[in-house]
Amino acid sequence: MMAAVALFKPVSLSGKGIHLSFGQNAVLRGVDIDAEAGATVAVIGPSGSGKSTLLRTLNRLYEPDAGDILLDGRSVLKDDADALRQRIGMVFQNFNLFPHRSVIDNVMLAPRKLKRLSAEAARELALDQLDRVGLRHKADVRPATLSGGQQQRVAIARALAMAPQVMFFDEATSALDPELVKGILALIADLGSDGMTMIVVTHEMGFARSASGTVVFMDRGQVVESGPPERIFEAAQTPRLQRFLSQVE
Amino acid sequence: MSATRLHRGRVAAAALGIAAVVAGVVTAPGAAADQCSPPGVQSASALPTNLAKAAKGPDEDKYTTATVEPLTGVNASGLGLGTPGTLVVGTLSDAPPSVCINSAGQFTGFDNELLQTVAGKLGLRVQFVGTDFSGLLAQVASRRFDVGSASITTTDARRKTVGFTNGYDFGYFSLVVPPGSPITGFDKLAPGQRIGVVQGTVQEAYVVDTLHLDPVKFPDYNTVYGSLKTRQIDAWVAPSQQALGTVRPGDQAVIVENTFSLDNFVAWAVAKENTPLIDALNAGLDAIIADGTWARLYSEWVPRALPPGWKPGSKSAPRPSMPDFAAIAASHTPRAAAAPAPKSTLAQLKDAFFDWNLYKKAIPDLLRTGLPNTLILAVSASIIGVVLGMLLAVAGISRSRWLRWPARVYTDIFRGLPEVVIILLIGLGVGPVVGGLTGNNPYPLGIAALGLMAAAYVGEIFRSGIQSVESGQLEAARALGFSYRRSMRLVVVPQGVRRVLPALVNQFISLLKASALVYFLGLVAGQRELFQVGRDLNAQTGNLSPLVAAGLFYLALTVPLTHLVNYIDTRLREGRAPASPEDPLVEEIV
Repeated sequence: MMAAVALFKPVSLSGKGIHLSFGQNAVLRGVDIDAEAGATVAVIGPSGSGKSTLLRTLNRLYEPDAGDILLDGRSVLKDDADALRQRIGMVFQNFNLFPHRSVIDNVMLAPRKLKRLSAEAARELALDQLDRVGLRHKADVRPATLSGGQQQRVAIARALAMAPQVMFFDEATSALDPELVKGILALIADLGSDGMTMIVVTHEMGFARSASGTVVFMDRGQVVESGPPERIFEAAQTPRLQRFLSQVE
Repeated sequence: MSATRLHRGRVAAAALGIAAVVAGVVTAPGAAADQCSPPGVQSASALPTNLAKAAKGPDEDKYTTATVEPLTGVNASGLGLGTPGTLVVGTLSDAPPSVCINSAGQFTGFDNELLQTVAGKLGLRVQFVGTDFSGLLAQVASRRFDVGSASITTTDARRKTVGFTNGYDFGYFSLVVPPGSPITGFDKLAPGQRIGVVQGTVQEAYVVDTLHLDPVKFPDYNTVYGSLKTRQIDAWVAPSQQALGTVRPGDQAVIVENTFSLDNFVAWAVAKENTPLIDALNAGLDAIIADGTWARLYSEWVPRALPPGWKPGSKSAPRPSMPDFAAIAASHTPRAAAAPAPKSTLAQLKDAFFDWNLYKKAIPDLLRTGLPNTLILAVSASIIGVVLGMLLAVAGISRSRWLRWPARVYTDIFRGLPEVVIILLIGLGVGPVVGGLTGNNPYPLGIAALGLMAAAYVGEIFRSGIQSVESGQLEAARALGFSYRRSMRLVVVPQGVRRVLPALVNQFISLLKASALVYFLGLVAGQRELFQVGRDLNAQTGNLSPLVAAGLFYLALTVPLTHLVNYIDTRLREGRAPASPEDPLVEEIV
């Protein structure tokens, strides 16, 4: 794997008092979250606690009902949402690769169409990204012919090709076979040590403990407890977090 | 044409009420027999002997004009014609010897030949357009046609829609039954019998209003006659001309009785308010009666003794002088002695469906005229259908109800109506409104109707395809920074379309078949598509082989398409070959 030191110009991302409801159902109820420039924030919590929704609200796939989102210290709620999402890469639990396009087309689509790169430049960029995830040799096959781990690597390459300032990972290893999880987590951890600002929603407590600077525990649409991993995992303050940890570990 | 003449002679004999089966050397039925050629004076028939008892007695003839204006007073530019100098005439291809299309693909028959000479007197050119009787009068009323020429019997009901000229022919009704039927006359018709008529004809009105019976309605004469021969109906009340022209030796059918009504003569239909054209045609008709043309054509095409109290043209037109048809008829009746044995059912089927001579005759026309026209109709309609269908699909999944609702309503209407109704609504309803734009050419209207109909189905196909794409695809595209619109265009729609390609090809196959329906709108000979070419030849010969030939052409188009569907299906599932490095990002065509 190529070392990519100082590839990123990391920026900070914060959500302040974010509220979001779907009809009568209040999914986020005043969530505060801070990721310093270059920091890795792990978000943990039970299913339905609003973790994935929080990510989609921070990149404005869902517009928050109240609260503010600061990127690099500046509110982005009034910005063009599409432009905002170009600055925030996202990787999904189910990969969501475009099955009708080859692997390299998946990676180069957004740079070509959104950054208006030439076909050669976009291809070069895409091959570099595939190199980073170790899949250059699979450039011309369809995603369906790849294993889950390989597909998730392509999805990471696709997000990185837009040179995002922040990366979101939404349970990126939950759909993978156990033997593939480690490789993907290592890749994410490498990105973090290269200086990328990341918010990682995960069920992998080991990853949250070892690779993140801050752990955020969410339940029922609220941040219940947050702090450095050793405090969250060794000295949980709230009964809810204690109960959660006792169930997952 | 001796074979044809003999054939005519024999049917005339049948009309005399002798028997259906008569003598004569005949070639195999259907073999190159052109029902659309003048049978000649030798085929003359006398007055039906069983006419008088069935006649209702002449009513007062209140519609025939007393005189006509002089031919020199006709102002050719004031006739209200769509195209100055040209008489556009709606006619039928399947009603010999009155109106029909001959083996050379020209519209002819007594009515049309007569109209040609009338037009000649007026200094007008004639352009014939084949159509279906069900739409003929409506199209005359809307001025799509200047004149309707189809052996049209005038009735008070029809006079509410169109105007008529003076009479140039008269009509008996014939009662046609299978040989040995207990139905031997109109007075034997009774409830419970299946009595066939062509819908919208005077015969239908006669059965319903005069006989107070409930007839079985058929779309055209060939179908009703085919049903009689195979005994699916018990009797056929036919225009006498039709019965004479259609009932052939060896057929399982006999003409047993005729009836006549004086107030319903045969005339050309003209838009009601266009009295200058009616007056001019009346003047021309009297002129060709005076110079003997009427008598000549009448003797060639439809030689029958005139019924008592009737003559063509205005009341002041001279009585035409004609040969003694009764004497001619009497001279050839002895031939009606030895009958060929009725054919076995199997032999009849073979003759009706597998006459190789007719295949040879049909295939060049099907190839040169039918196939290109069918493809033009289906492909053009598909283009409209795909473009409009995509708009409907996008509107149908839109978040705005102002897009969703109209798309829903459109789809419900166009999917819910039978194809024929859409064709007739667009062709005959919208046609007159846009007549100036289309030059009264039915093609754009037919294509539009088929396209609008296809759009409703294609829209639903696209919508289901697009909605079947996992929501994660849209989410992933949007997360990369694509707008909703571009996400749909680059990621979601191409996947949705691929999934429904098989359904789209199936839709194209149904369009190929539905394109046959444009014949309702009236086509000139060169515009006929596969079905109409086969149907016309079927009408000329009374043989179904041309339709089978047309059917084979449809199969030759549709069967490879079904296999294409399977091929696409497989390829979509297994993916395409790796993209070449020169062209790494193949643009989607959406």
